[in-house]
Amino acid sequence: MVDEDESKDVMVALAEKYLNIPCSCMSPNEGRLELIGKLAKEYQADGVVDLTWQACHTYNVEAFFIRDFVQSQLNLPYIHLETDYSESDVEQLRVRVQAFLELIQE
Amino acid sequence: MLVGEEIKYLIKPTGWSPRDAGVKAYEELLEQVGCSPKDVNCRVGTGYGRVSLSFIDKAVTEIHCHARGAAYLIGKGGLVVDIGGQDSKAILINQKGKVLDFTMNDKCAAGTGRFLQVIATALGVDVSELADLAVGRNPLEINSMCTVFAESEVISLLAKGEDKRDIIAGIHRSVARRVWSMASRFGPVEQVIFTGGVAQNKDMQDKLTQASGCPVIVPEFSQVAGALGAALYARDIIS
Repeated sequence: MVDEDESKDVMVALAEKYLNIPCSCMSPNEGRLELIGKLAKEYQADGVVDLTWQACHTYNVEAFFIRDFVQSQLNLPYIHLETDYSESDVEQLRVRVQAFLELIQE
Repeated sequence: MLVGEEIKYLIKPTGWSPRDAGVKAYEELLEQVGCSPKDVNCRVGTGYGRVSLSFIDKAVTEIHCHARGAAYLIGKGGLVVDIGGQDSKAILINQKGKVLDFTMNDKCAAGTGRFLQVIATALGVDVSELADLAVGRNPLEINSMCTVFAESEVISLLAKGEDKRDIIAGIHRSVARRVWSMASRFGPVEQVIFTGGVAQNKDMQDKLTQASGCPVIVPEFSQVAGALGAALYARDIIS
């Protein structure tokens, strides 16, 4: 959602909104770490699942920093998954997700 | 299967039905050990077929079962590298077998036992013969990661007149490098505990040692470390 500010130009308001999204295509993208930290605290997360859509290289590269941040700063279990919209890898994902839940429960 | 502290096992190809193969393996093992289903206190299923087994009390993922089994076999923690038929995984464990972190290969056959099987078929040998053929040979460079492309590459090498044994050594090195590039994210480790069917391959052990630069341990029963872990989880449930 774009803030309602009548005095601001519509295009500028839209551009500002988009540029504030902590997407991995931004560099540096420290906003993502802040957001994950904030959300993990707010929802009392037991773990963090980092999902990368297949072939999104910037998210894949960033997963390295996210893992490090989640494990050493938030002290939470972390898993990185890479998948696409097809259902061909459901069983492979099931193993990873189930193992991740077991890891949290242990 | 754990009979007291004694490890009893049976290995059976899954074929096309994990459910039927699971039931058959269970029944045959009971017969081999000489006990009836009533004597079994608890059954834990693991592996890709775990969800299709109807006779089990609980299903635990192979990640945790391999970790538990490996820790039991060597009595300490470390990095478990499991190369099975379907996938390869690296699991960081502590002394008690608790999983600290893990990673698996993606949904392709590269860097798995299946990869070795396909190449063995292309070379007209059985997977069990690969190690003896490759030991001490000069590994050729295999550039393709993909199983299908690597098979074409192997056929090209054969056409060029390269020695089959050098090709196998190259294939082993390529699997070891692929697996280690995935496992090395857990940083330097003191030792690697190698489990799964591929761990039986002596040349793969050497190639993994070279790729990782650290000692590779293959304990007895490492091929069934996952099943052993499941049995240990079952024992936890009883007590």
